[in-house]
Amino acid sequence: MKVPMIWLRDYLNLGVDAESIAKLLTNAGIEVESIDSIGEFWSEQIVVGKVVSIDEHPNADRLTLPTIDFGSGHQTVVTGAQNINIGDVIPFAMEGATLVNAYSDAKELTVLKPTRLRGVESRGMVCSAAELGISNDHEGILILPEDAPVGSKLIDYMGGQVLDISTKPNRSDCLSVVGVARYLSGLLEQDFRMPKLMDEIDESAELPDLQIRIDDPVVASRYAVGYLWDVKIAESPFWMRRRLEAAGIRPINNIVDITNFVMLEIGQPLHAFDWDKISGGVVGVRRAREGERITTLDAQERELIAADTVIFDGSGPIAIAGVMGGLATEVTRTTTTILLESANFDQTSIRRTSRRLGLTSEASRRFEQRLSPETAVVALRRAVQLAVEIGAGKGVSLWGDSYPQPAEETTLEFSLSEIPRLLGVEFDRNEVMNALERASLNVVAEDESTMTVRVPHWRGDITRDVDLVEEVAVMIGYDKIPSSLPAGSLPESIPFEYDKRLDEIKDLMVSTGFYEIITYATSSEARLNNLLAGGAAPDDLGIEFADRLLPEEIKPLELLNPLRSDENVLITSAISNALETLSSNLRFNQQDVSLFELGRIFLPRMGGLPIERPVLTAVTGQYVSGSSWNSIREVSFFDFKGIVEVVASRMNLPALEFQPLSHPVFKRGQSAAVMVNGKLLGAVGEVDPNVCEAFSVNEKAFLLSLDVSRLLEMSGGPRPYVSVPRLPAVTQDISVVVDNDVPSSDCVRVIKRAGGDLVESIKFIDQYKGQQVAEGKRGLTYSIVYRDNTKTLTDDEVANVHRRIVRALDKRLNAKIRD
Amino acid sequence: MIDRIEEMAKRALAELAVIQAENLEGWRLKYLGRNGELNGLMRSIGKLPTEDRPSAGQAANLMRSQLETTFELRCAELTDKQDQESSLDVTMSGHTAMLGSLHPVTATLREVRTIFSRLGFRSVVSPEVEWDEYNFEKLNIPQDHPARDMWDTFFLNSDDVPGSMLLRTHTSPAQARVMEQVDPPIRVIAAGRCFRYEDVDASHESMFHQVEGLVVDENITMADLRGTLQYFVRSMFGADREVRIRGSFFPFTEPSCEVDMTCLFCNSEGCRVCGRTGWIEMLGAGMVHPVVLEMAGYDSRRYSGFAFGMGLDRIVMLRHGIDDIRHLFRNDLRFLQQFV
Repeated sequence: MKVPMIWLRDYLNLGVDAESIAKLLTNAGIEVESIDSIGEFWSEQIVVGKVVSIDEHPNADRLTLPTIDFGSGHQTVVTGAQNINIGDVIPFAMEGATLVNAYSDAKELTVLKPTRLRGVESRGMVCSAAELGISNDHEGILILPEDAPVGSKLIDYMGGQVLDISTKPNRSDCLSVVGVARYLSGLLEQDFRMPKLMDEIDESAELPDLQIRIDDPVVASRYAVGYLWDVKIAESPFWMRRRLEAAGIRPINNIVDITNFVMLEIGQPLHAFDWDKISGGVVGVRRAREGERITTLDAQERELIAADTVIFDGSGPIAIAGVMGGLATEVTRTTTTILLESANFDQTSIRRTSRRLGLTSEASRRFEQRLSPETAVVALRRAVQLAVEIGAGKGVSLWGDSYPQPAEETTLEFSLSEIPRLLGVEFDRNEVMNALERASLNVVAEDESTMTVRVPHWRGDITRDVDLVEEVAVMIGYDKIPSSLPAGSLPESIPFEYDKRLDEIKDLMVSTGFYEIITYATSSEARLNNLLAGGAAPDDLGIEFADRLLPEEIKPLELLNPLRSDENVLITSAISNALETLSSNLRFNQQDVSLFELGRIFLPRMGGLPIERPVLTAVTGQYVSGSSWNSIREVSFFDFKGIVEVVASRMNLPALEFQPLSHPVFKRGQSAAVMVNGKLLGAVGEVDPNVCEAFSVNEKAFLLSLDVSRLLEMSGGPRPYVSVPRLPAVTQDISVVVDNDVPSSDCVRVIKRAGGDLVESIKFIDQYKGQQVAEGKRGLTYSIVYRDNTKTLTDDEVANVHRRIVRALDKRLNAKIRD
Repeated sequence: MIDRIEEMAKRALAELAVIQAENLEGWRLKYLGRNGELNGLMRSIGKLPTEDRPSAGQAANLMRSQLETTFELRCAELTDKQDQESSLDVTMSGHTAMLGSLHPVTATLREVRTIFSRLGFRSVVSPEVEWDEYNFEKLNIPQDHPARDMWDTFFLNSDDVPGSMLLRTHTSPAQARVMEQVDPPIRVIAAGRCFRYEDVDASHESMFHQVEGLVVDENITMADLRGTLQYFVRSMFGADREVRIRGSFFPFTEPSCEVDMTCLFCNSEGCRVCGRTGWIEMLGAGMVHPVVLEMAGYDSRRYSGFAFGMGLDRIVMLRHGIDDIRHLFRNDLRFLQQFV
C-alpha cells in the first residue's frame, strides 16, 4: 500500500524524515519496500504559474497563446489545451525543464527546448498531470487550486515522498493511512489525531424509509449505511485528487473519490449506490442463488454460485458483496441521492468469489483480511464528513445499521513472567506498561505478576498473551533482546541421520569422476515416456526394475496448476531427467559428460501420500577423459559395474549378483540387473539406442539406476575386523577355456567350492576370444590366492588343491586348462 | 712390450672419447676387466726376460691408473648429460585427477549442517509431497486464511485420497512432523526442496531449497534464537558480520522476526546486492506459536521453542557470487565444473 508522507502528517507530527520512518516501520514488522518520490525529476524550471491572458494563434484554430505569470516575469507560450481560462493557476515549465513525453509509449523523460509551433515561438509549456509524471491524465492542463503560490517551485508545492508498504496479513489495520499513523505514533511516542468525523445521528434530517436485512449473519456481521442527498457529481478538490494519485488511485468524481479516499484513510471499503435506482426501500445481504445473474459495473453479465454473497434490493441482486457493484445502481452524472454502504463481510466468501471471478481490487483485498466491524461506522462518519466538507452533498452518516451480534471488547490477562520466558530478557514493569500503551493496548488492571490489557477493536490479530509479548518486544525494540545459545540437554531421540548416509554415496560418486546434478521434481508424461522408446518387452527382472525405479504402468501424480504443460506431473523415474541433462550437456561438451543425481521419485499410492523413493542415477556418454593428457577412452559396461560394486562395498552390502536384464531402457546383452540377497537393487548398463535417440543423444550412453531405499535397508553396520594374515600366501594363475554361455561367476563358484578354505581370494584377470580358442568358446584367466592361516603352505599342498580345482572346473563346467 | 701397452692404451682412450653411455661397461670389461686386454698384457709380462719385467710392469700399472681415471671421468660426464636430457619440464600441466564435484547446493548445505551440528542439531528429512494439513493447518494457517497468499501453492490431483495434496511450499511441515514423532528436547534442522507456483526469473525459481530449524525445550527464548542464528551467520559468512532482527509475521511463530546480516559486498555501505540498505535478508524466524505446540500435543506453558527457515539457494548465490538462481538447476557442466 502506498502511503504519502504528506497524508501521514495529517495525523501526527513526524519530526523525522521518510528514511527514518521507513526504518522504524520496517523494524517493527511493517515493511517499507521502497520510498517513492513524486516530482523526483522536477527541476527549478517547473513552477506554479497563473494564466493572465489568452490570445488566439494567428495561424492555427486549435492552438492558443496563453501568457503566464510565473512570479518573476511573464512568458507567452503556445498550447493545444482547451481547458484553461484566464485566472487559472497551472504548472508552468520553463525551457530546460525535464518533463515526461506524454505522447510516447515509453513515457521517457525529455528536456524542454524552445520550439516554433505554426510560426510562433514557444519558450515554455503549460503542463498536464501526465507530463509531470503524476498520473496518466493527459486530457488537459492540470489546474491547481487558486491559492497555489504563484512563482514557487512546483516540487515545494506538491512534490513529496510516498512509502510503499507491504503489509503482512495479520496487520489489516495497517492497510490504511490512519492505521499506519496510529501505529507510528506509538513507535515515535507522538500524539495521534483522528481525522474529523461527522456525528452519527442527525435528528433534524428527514430520511426516506429504509429496511436493512442481513439474511445470513455468517456472510455479513454488519451492514451499515449512510445517506447523501442534494448530491452534485463533480470533480473532487485538488488536494483529494492529489492524495489519491499519490496513493496510486485514479480520481473519478467526488463521490467515488470519497469512497476511495476513506478506504485508503480508514481501511474500510465503501460502496455508493444511486438510491433512486434502488427499489422497494430495502437493501440486504444474502448468499447468492446458484445460477443467479448480475451485470456488474464493468458491463459484464456474471453468473453467481451459492458460495457468493450478494447485496439485494426489492428487485434482486444489486452488487456482488465486497467484489463489484452492479451496473443498474451505479452512481452517474445525474445521481442526486446516494446510499453509502459500509459493511463487514465474511472473509472467506469474498476471497473465494474474488478469486473465482478474477476480480481482486483494493476493496476485495481489504475485505479478505480481518476488518473490524467497528470501523464500518467510523468510515461512514468520515465519508459523510468529507462529502459535506467538499460540497458534494448533504448527508447523514448512520442512516441504518444492522449489527446482529456486536463484537465484544477483548481483554487479555497476561503474566509478566512470560516476557523473560519467551524473550530471554526482563524489562522494567513501567517499560512494559509504556510499551503496551504505545501499542494502543491499555492496561486496565494489574497486580504483582499480571496485567490485564484491553485490545482495541482494530487489533483483531491480538488474541493471546503471546501476542502481547510480541507487541512489547516490538515497541521496546528487538535490538534489546540479547544473544545466548540454547542450554539444556541435547536430544537423543532422533536416531537415523539419513542424509549423512546419502552424503557417503554422493562423495563416492564424486570421487569416481561424476558431477552432481539437481533436476526438477516435475516432468510430463510424454517426456517420461521417452524412456520406453526401446520398445522391447521386459523380462521378469525388467518388470521388477520398472516397478521400483520407473513405474511405466503407474500414472504419475498430476499437478492441478502446472506452470508449464511439460512440467505437469511428478517424476516416476529419475532417468529421463538424467538423460535430458546428458543430452543438453553433450551439445556443449564434445565428450566427457559424467553426471549423477541422488534424488527422489514419486510413486502414487492408494489413499496416501506418494512413496518418495530415493534413487541414485548416473549417466555418461560414450567417452570420458582419462587422467593423462588428451586421453579419451570409451566407457564400458564394466566401468559402471565397477561403480556399483564400489558403492555396495562402501555401504557394506552383502554380495552382489549381476544378472542379464531385458528392459526397454537398456540395451539387451549390454546391461544387468543388480541383485542383493535375491532382491533387486537396480540396473546398470548401456542405454538402448532407440532411447538415446528419443533423448537426442547421438552416441552410446551408459546408465545406472539404484534404489537407494533398498541400498540403505541392506547396508551393514561398521565392518568387523579380520586379522591381518601373518603367514605367506601363494598365488597361482589359472586359465581355462569354457563355452561362451558359461558365466564367469560359475567358474568363480566352482573354484571356491573345490578350493575350500585354502582359497583366500579369486581375482578375474582377463578374457580371451580369438584364434587360439575354438569358435563359441573363450578363455578366462583368474589369479587365485591360497593361504592357510594356521601354517605355511607347502608346494605339494598348493599343487594338490590347484589340481582339485582344475578337475572340478573340467567336470562341472567342461572348462579345459588353456596352455 | 711397452709399445704394445701404449698402442692398446691409445686405442682404448680413443674409443672412450666417443663412447655412448650404454657401451661404458663393455669398454671396461674389454680393457680393464679380469679377462680384459690390460690383464692379458700384464700376464704376458711374466714371460718377458727378468730385466725387462719391472719397466713393463711399471708402464702397465701407470696405464691402468690412467685408463681407470679417464674412465671414471667419462662415466661422470656421460651421466650428467643423461640426467640433463631426461629432466622434466615441470611447467607442463599435471594429469587431471578424475574427480567430479558436488552440486554447490549440496556443498553449501553440508556447510550449513556442519555449523548447526556443532550446536547439537540433528538433521532430519521430510516429504516433499505433503498434505495441506501439514503444510498449512498444523502451522496455524487454516483454510482460506489470507496468510495463505504468502505461499503460492502447486496442488496435486488427489481425487482418490482423503485430503488435499500439494508440493510443500516450505520446509516448515517438518516442524509438525518432528513434533508428532518425538517429545522435547528437540533440536533439528530439515533441509530440502520446496516448490512455489510463481514465475521464474533471476531471483525466483518454482523449485528452491530451504533449511528449517526447530528447537523446543523448557526455557528456550528469543535470545537463544538470536544467538544461534548469529553464530550461524558468523560461522558461514565471517566473524565480522553484524546480525539484526526485526519484526515480521508468520502464522506459526509468535513473536516473529526477520534476520538480516550486514552486506558482504559493500560492508553495509549500500550496493546493488543489498538494495542499497546495507543489510541482506537472511531468513525468517520466531518463537514457535503456542497453537503449533498445542496442536503437537505439547504443553505450551512448559515448553517453548524457536524455529527458522532460510533460503539455501540464496546462501549458495551469496557464497559464490552467482547472480541468477536459474543457473542452479540447469545442470550445465560449464557451471558445475567450477565447483570441483
